[in-house]
Parts: sequence; C-alpha cells; structure tokens
Amino acid sequence: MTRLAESRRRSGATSTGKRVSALAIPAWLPLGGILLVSGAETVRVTGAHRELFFNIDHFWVLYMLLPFVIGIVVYGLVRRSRVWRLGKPIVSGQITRESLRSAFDDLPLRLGRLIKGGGGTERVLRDPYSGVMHLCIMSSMIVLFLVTALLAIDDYIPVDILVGPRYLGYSLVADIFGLVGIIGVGMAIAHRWVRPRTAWLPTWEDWLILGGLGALLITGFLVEGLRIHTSEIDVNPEWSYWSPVGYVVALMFSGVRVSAALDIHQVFWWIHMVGALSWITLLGYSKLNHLILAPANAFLKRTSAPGKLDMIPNIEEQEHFGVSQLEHFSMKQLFELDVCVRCGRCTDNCPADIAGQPLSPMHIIQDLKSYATAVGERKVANLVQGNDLNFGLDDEAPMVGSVVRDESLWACRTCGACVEACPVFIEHVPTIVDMRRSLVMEEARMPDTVQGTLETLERQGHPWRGTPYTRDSWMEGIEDRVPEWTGEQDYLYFVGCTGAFVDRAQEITRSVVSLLREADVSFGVIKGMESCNGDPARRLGHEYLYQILAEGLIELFNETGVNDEQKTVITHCPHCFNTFLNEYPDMGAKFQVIHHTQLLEQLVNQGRLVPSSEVPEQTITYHDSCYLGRHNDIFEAPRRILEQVPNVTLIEMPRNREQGLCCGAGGGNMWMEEQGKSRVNEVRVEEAVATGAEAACTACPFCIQMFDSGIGTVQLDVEDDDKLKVLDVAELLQAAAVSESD
Amino acid sequence: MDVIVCVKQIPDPETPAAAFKVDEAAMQVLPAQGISPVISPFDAQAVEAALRIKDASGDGTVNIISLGPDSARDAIKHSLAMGADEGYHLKDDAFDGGDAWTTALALSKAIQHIGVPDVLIFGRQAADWDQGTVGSIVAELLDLPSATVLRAVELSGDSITVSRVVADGFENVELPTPCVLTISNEFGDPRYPQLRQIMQAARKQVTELTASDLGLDASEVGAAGARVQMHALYQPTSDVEVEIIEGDTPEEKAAGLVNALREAKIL
Ligand code: SF4
Ligand code: SF4
Ligand code: SF4
Repeated sequence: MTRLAESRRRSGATSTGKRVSALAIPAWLPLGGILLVSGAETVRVTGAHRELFFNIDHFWVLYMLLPFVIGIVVYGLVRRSRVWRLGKPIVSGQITRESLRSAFDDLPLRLGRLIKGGGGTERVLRDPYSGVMHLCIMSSMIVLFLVTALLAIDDYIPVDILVGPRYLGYSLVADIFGLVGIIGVGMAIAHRWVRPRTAWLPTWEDWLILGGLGALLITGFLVEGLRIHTSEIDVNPEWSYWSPVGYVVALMFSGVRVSAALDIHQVFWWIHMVGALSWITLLGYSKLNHLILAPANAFLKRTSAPGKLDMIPNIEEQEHFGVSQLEHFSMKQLFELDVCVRCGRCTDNCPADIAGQPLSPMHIIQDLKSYATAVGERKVANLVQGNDLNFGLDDEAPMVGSVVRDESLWACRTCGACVEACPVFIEHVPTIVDMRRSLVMEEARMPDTVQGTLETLERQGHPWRGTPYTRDSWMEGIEDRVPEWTGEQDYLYFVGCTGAFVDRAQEITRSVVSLLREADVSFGVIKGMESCNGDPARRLGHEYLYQILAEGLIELFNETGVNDEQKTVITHCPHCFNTFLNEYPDMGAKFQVIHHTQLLEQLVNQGRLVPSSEVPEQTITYHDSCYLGRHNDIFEAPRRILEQVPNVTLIEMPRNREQGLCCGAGGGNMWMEEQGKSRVNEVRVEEAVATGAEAACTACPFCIQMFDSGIGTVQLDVEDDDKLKVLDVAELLQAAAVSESD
Repeated sequence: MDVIVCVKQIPDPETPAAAFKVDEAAMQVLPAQGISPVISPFDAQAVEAALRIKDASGDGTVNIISLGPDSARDAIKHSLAMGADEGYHLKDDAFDGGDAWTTALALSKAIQHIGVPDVLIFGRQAADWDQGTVGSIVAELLDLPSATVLRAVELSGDSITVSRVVADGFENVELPTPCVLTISNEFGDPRYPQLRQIMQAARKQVTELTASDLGLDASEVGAAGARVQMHALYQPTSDVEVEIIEGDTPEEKAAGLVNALREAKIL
C-alpha cells in the first residue's frame, strides 16, 4: 500500500480536542488539592457515620418505585426503536450476516470511539465553555450516582465501610460534586440566557432537564442541611465541617425549631427522591437519552472515510432511488435523528449557514426527527394494525420538499464540517445526499444549473459546460514533454476534467508535469481518452450516472493496464483523489492512489526536488480543501512542502485543518447558483485576507477558482498588485524547485 | 390527443470548436472523440411540447420517429425516457446521403404508415445543418396546415392556439387539427427524464422501418433522391488581429477607440 498512513482515518482524535481537554485540566487542579489535604485531615476523626434513612418512614416505597422507573425508561426507548426499525437494515434487504458485519467491522476503531467520543465526550471538550459546563454536569451526575449507590450498598452489607474518616471523605466528595453540578447547570442556563441563538432557542426539554437537575441538586443540599441541623451540628459539629455546603445550609436553618425542621426535612426528602426518579424517566423521552444513545452512535458511526458515499447496489432493480420516505433511510439514519441534542455545533460550522444561505444541518436533523415522531409513529401503528404502511398518510406534507426543503439540500457542500463537529457522531452528509438522490433520480427535480451539469456529464463526459477546450488543450505546445501512458510506467497522472478544461487549472496541470519531470518520476498521461470519474454526478445525487461513468473509466483503466495493484494514480484534485481512494474499490478498482501533495512531499524529502531558488519573500496561508483534509486526513503534507520553500512564512487562518471552512464549491456547488445573503467563497476569502498573508495556497483546483472569484468581489477596490494571490502548492514548488521553464 | 414528434440525432452543439473536425475529401463531419451525439435541442423541446399537449388533453399518445443511422436510436430512447409512448426508427442504407427533401418524404410516408395524428411536431430546425425545412415540407406533402417557430402552444378545444416568433414580436395563430408545428427555443427547457423512465425506455422496443416497409423505392430516397448537391465542406478560418489602443488616461483611450472604430467603419 503506498496510500500514505496519513490518508487513513485516525480514530477521530483531533488536535483541537486534545488542546481543549488539556485546557480543562487546570480547572480540576484546585479540586484535587482540596481532596488531598482533606484526605489527610479526615484520618484524625473517628466514628463518624450517618443513618441511611434518617427521619424517614415508609422508605420502602422508593424501592417499589424503582422497577417502575426502569420500566418507564425502557418502554420509552423500545417504543422509539420501533420507528428506527422502519428503516432498512444497514446493508440492504434483510438483516443478514453481512449487514451485521458492516455494523461491527473494525471493532478496535469503534470501541475507541465509544470510549473516547462516547464516554470521554471528546468532541464536547473542544469548546472551552460548553466543555467545562458539560464536564461539570456529567462528573457531578456520575459521582453522585456512585455516592448514592455506595451508601445503599453500605447499608445492606454486614461490614460498615462508611464510617470514620472514610465517611467524612465520602461526605466531602459528595458535597463538592453536588456543587460542581450546580455550577454546571448554572453555566448551561446562563448559556441559554446570555447567548440565546434563534437557531436553537431552548424548549421545554431544556428547561425540564436543566431545571429538574438544578432542583434535585438544591433539594439534595436542603435535605442534607436539615439533617445536619437536626442531628449532627450539636452532637458532632466536627463531622459537619466535612459537608461544607450542607453545613452552610444547616446554619441557615439554625433558627428553626428541631421538630419543625424534622418535618421540613421529610418533605424535601420525598420531593428530592421522587423528583430524582421522575427525572430519570426523561432518559426514555427527551434528549436526555443521549446518555445512552450518544455512545451507541459513536460506536455505530461508519468506519469508512467520512468523504465516502455508499453505493446503491443493483441500482437497476431498486424500487426507489434515494430517500423520499422515512422507511427508505437505514435504521442507523433513523436512530441518529433521536441522538441529536440540538446543540447547534453542526450549524455553527456549516459554510452555508455561515454565509447566510438556506441550510442548517441541525434543522435538517431536527425537522426529520419531528417528522419521524409524527409520521413514523403512525407508520408503526399501521404496521401493527396490519394496514398498508402509508395508510391514511396521503395528506401529509412530503418529507423531501416540505419537511426538508429542496434549496437546503442543494446548498450543502458535502464538506463534512457538520459531521466533524457533531459531539454525538451524527453523519449528516449521507442523509442529505440520499434525499438529493431522490430529487434527481426519482423526481428529476433540480435547479437548471444542476440539470445542465448532469447533461454535460452524460454527453461530454465532463461537467464543464461550454468550455472552449478539449481534453488535451492543456498540453498544447508541450506535447513532447508530456509522456504518454504506456502501461510500463509506475504512475499514471490522472489530469481530471478540471485540470483539462479550465484555464486556471491547466496551469496547475502543467506545473505538476514539470515537477514530475524534474524529479524523474516514471509517469504517463492517458491522452485524449480520460473521462470524468463521476464524482460530480455522485455528489449531485445522480448515483446511476456516477456508476456508468465509473464503470467506463475502470474499463479504460483495465484496458490500459492502470488497474493493477502495482500502479499508482496521481491526482491533483482532492475530489478525484477521494473518489478513487474511497469509492472506486466498490467498483472493482485495485490501483493505488496518491495526491500530488503527498507525492511532492516525498520527492522533496528524498531530495529529488530541491526548493532552492529564491521565491519572493512572502507570507502564505494554507486553505484546507475539505476532500483532502477533513475527508482524507491530509493536513500536513502540503504544509510541510510550503515550509520547505525558502522565504515563505506559513500562517494559519483561525479555521484550519479539521475545522477548515469549505471554499463553497463542494457537493456540486461549483456548478450552481448560490442563494442567500453572501457567498461562501467570499466569507473564506475574507478570512484569508484577514491573516495579512500575501498569498493563499491550496491543493484543489476548485478552491483556486472559488478563491479567484471571491477575491474579485471582496477586494474589488484593491490594486491588482496588492490583491491576495492564489496558488496551488505545486505552482509554488515549481517556482522554487524547477529551474528550466518547462 | 395523439401527437407524433420527428426528432434527429446530431453532433453535440456544445462540442468545443477545437474538437470539431470535418473530412473535406469525403465531405463529412468527423465525430468528435469522447463526445456523444445528442438529440437536437429544438427536437427535445418539440417532445416537451408534445408531452404537455398530451397532459393537457388528458389522453392520447406521443410517438417518436427518427431517421438516421444506428445511433439515432439514442435520440428516440431519450424521447421515450422523457415520457413518449412508442418509437419508430427509419433505418436503411438507402437513406444515406439524403437531403431535407428525401428526409421529409420518408418521414411523411412513415407518418401515414403509423396513422396521421392530431398534431405533428418538429423542432424549428436541426441544430447541425440548421436548414429548418423538413417540418414545412412534410406539411406540404401531407397537405396539412402548419405554423413554424413557436414559443407557445395551447389547446383550445379541438383547435390549437400557438404563438409564433416573428422578426418584430409575436404572432398568435389558431390552427385546426390535424396540423404541423415547429418549436423554437423560446418554448422553454425540456424536462430531465426520471431514472425510472430512462430504465423503462432502455427496455422498450423501437420499431424499425426500412424504405421498402414505407413503400419507397431506393431511387427516391438517400443520395439517389436528393435534390441538393453538396459541392464542398470545409471549416472556415477566421483571422483575428489585435490592436492595443494606447493612451495615458481612460478618456484618451476611449477617444482612440472611437477613432479606430470609425476608421473600421463600424461607427
Ligand atoms: S456538509 Fe458542510 S455544507 Fe453540508 S450541511 Fe454539513 S457543514 Fe453544511
Ligand atoms: S446534529 Fe449533532 S452537532 Fe448538530 S445539533 Fe444535533 S447533536 Fe448538535
Ligand atoms: S472545492 Fe475544495 S474546499 Fe470546496 S469542497 Fe471541494 S475540496 Fe472542499
């Protein structure tokens, strides 16, 4: 495998994730200190303990309620699971061994995600504020749960664990984490109050979960304070210092007569306990279910590269194309809808939303969830009653077109920023593309620009309608320097449609050829015969056209000896790269794939390319192409090339690497009219300009075009010489490493 | 209402100029590499018009006829995928080398063979040779009223109201049925076929008809029956001369440009 290790997906760990979780550590240091010192102190006190059901009669009622609570939660989840089971098994057809295998492949990766992403809430920690908030609430709940369980266990086993210093330490830990929980809940409420965003105005769920939890924690302290006031503070005052919050509460009640305090204690005890049990039932009926579902979804997330779209097998025999009904989704896609906690991270990172365009991935998931609740449950009822699945549902607004609007589906760049941001591992992109598939293949309903692009792909084998060029125009004048592919060389340089038909991209193609020649790489080009690999058709939702184009290209690769494990295809387009690397194996591809930045980095490291000539001194910012970076984890190769070019200083935009912002072209938007307040490429160009860099470098021909057109409007009034320059990494390297002008 | 649409398959008009080649000796257009021939865009619009008439009238059929080599079947299949009912392919070596007249003759025989429908629709012209005569000749041969270069077609009872594109505006005309119509690009975009229809169309049989099936003698059609003789086929070359107009200020440059245009007698 020459596919570089870098191109493999890491388990989802990200540098930002690590940075912020490290950030959270200092917050815990003081706490650790307190615990240590107190631990030493407790040793001096002996005999401290407390009674489990102090002042409470009929406490057995609680134990009676417990099975009910568990039953209510399980009922809620099982009921919901019937909606999930409307979907298709993960592969297709029946739940087969194959579909199970696909849900459990790559177990170490899945378990790693379950532990780090689910249990460790890795992605939540990326944002300092919500990270700390969530950590407070989560740690408090875990500790308090353990504390309560321990107390109950202690009561029932013959030996007493919780006596003396151990009891006091226990008491202190419980108090501290109760307080931590209150802080967390306070932060969460403040978050909703201070930074309310119309996009995610809090609903009853939020208030019930947060308000409920806050009330539980406060009543817990009241109960504790009253217990201390009535039974501890006068008898064993030194014990009560180990419940600092309870002690303060006790002091507040110091004027209350003991007999009255005992009554109040009983009331709050019951409120606290019954409240806690009721609150737990929310697990089955609200977004609190993420405690259970989020780790499960971390486990279920696809293990393939995030940029991969799944194939529709035997497409000619399908009863429907793509998704227009709930039951066309996979079980996992329906399950996912219920996992969403409405946190808004996906939308905050969505380039379309940032540019004020009509797409919010959170709303897509949420709207589908409401639809699954309303219509899904009726479908389930139809099944139970033996009716037709869609009985009585004819008047419902269509899911695609009304619940999710066409323009939202078209505005998606398939850039994966939402998928990367989602703390509960929801995969929005396949869901969005599945609905596009239905629009295009089932209903033939699409913007004119999309139709034009698809027609051009069908007829001319490339998406560049109206281009004045032919496949070989880029080599005019240098034909003899472009080696023809003979089947003998190691590398096939796949120029791709953009590299061939778009003037600006033709320059990149020529730079790549000149670098490969300079480094004496054994390579060739299939002249005149290439055709599109199908990526634009696939992202636009035309899976059938994708399969036809891909079959055609694989046939060409078979005939010309490219489709061989020993051969490697070089692409300079991240979209070709992603399709070849991640999607062509499904179509029978055996060849290796390398992106030009990966190969060029190797050549520089091997000393076969020496970036020695002085390029003008300049500051450069690198723009990550989504299909290279986020989708295929190639972040460093292009940066390391830039770092080795003399006189170049590399600086980063605030959104970089995994959090990089799309240029706006992905998902077929290269060929569409944008709708909305501004254009995505303008937003990104503004970010690049704000770094103060003289040039932006990227490794994607689409990004270059998007930047060029964005600069046209963003820097309309700037003198040409002062405008941001946009270069492919290969062009800069050529300037530094190739002396002859090729 | 029954409609027949005659369609032609042509080299893709979007073929970039650099890829367009002719064989001057054989007087033939060479197919461009990697670019498949397509249904003439005006003809796709004609199919769209036919489908709308069928939809508006609530019943009837839309049948397609195309004359041409094997590959013409794709133009028929495309029309079927758009929603047409049956396809007829006039395929015979005897048709080779024909002109607008022989094509119209063969088409009119085929139409009579299938049965003259209520409406016969053509594209205003085939986007390769751009002659724009076949529709009118068929109307003459079948002795039917016709309206050409239409931007809108509407059913009104048994008659048809159309809007013609003329030099200084539009002309609205009412025609009785049966009649012949030719559709212009102003009519609007043809529909994009649904995948299911493409697949159904792929499985549908296309009826093939030869000259003798239509009762035509080989001497009446193709090169033998043609009334137009081609003398030469070549690609015109055009020379571009560039003159940069110098000037220190935009005003001077503009003045220079006006002078240059006056000299070239453009202004
Ligand atoms: S893939 Fe990108 S454009 Fe599409 S919804 Fe997600 S973030 Fe938005
Ligand atoms: S999909 Fe994920 S990121 Fe988006 S709102 Fe839901 S939980 Fe948050
Ligand atoms: S054009 Fe570039 S940045 Fe935009 S989606 Fe494609 S790879 Fe990503």
